[in-house]
Amino acid sequence: MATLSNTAKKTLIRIGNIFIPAYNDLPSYEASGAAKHIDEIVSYAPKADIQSLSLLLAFLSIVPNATLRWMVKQMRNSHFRSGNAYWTLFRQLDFGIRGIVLGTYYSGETLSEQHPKEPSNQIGFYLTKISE
Amino acid sequence: MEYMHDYIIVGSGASGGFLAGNLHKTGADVLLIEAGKAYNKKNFPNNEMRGSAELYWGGGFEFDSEAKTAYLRSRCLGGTTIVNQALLDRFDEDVFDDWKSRTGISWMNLSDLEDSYDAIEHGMKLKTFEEKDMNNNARLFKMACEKLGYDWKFLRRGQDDCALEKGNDCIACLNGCHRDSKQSTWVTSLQNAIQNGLQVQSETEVLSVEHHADFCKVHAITPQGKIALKCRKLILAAGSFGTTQILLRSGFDKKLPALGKGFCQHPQFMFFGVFDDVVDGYKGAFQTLASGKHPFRKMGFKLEVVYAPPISAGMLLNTFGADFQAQMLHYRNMSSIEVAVRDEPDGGRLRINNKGRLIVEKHLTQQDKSRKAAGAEMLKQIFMAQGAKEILESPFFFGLHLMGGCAIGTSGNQSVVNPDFQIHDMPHILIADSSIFPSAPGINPSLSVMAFSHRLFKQLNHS
Repeated sequence: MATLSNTAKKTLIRIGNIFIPAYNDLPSYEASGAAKHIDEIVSYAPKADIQSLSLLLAFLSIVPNATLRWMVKQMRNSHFRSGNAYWTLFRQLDFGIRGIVLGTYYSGETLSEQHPKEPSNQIGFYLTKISE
Repeated sequence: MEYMHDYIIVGSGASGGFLAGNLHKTGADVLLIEAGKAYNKKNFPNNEMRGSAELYWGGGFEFDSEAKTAYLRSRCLGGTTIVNQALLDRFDEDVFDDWKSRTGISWMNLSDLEDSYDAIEHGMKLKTFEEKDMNNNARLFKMACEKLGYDWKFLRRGQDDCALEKGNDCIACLNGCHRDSKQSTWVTSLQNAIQNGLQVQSETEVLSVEHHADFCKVHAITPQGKIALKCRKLILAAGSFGTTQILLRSGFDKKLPALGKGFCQHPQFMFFGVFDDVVDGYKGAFQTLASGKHPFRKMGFKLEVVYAPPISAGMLLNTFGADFQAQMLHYRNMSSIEVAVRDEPDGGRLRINNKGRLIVEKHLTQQDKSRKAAGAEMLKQIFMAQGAKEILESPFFFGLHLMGGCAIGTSGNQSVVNPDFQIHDMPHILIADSSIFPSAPGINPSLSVMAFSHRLFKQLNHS
């Protein structure tokens, strides 16, 4: 089972804040407390993929937010680009990083004293499950 | 002396789940192997985050070699029938005319497969949706189609009692049905079979297989370590990706020139319409309508009403930052329709790297792109007829219904499996899952996978 290093997680949270900033009453990624689920989520991904991601995020820990913001733009634009290795890498990052960020942010399990409302509820998602 | 099962079945979805239950009923010694975990209605993952991580290979998604297509492939007992929408339609003569021409197989027609389709349908609960089942997303689609003169139809689903009238939201069953209503192979076949003694080994991934004169050997890995198992007949039912990967890892590509070739899919492109009013597209039965046959079938695509829970919806949006948050605050105000394209099989290929990891090589052809563009154009007319104030298009697409890689046919050079579902020159390994499809049918494949598996079951039962 692979995990992200603590340095890698900190970079992921910084990137998470770029993808998901505070907006109206919605908390930023970091403020939501969603990061507490990162270890659980990445444990299901292929070990080799998480090890590579961990190395990359650890390397990116030294770059300023402006560079991370540029990377996020590249990730988002990558889906409109060709199939060469450069854009393939950014597409992989877009899927992988956004998958972790969005997956944990909208988990429905981020309640805290600071944020007593789940982001999933704040956007109006209330699931009714009738079991019997 | 090593123990010899009558059958080992690898994979528990539409093919493997059906075959395991039915062969077990005949008194045969059957071992069902599944790479994923076993769940039941009481312990399916309780939210989308856990559902995506636990129930799918790759911890959520897998990708092609260029990361342009995202694939959803289930990894749990019951396979994709646990997480799909159980939309069940028979193939039409368009499909079988094409397949008969490609494969040379005389029984590729509706008439010869009718008893198998009938048997499958009689063994499960089916519901064709009605007016009262529609949510607002569906009502908007119907209204717009009628305004524009487009054919539409209610979808048919394998379900028993979804308690829609009590307010149950079926989108929850994308993480497994908490009511045992969705007609997964867990519900229709495996639960009873396990209670009656069917041997199931879950959390066991098959690495490779061997074919010998009168038996097969299966090499697998469990949480406790590697194991080897023997059987008289081996049925591979791990789907297009899984079955093909096992055979490639086993070195069978040297004997089977068509192995891994002809991978095909139904690329699904999602669009959202944004409204001032609340739509709540995720409530109730969230997938009840689709475009009818004309003119869509000949144009190579169909339109389906669908919605996504928040994580998936968020992944499909093309923004980040404040723009993303603003769009997600409109989650309740969006309608959603997908364009599902019938793609060209040529050029799609599955292979493995030197570590045995599956590599998917599949590009959209010009025909695929044209079909998508035509579908998107019609869809935009539909959204405008609905009164949408904005239309959002997802920047990437899902490859749904993974098919091919072990095509069925009469020629040993152009197919992997013969008309009796045996691998060419390896009569003790059989395949009836979607990997044998010679092209994309443009229709949900689940029911037909079960029908082919029923045909195989009849064959095995006779012999």
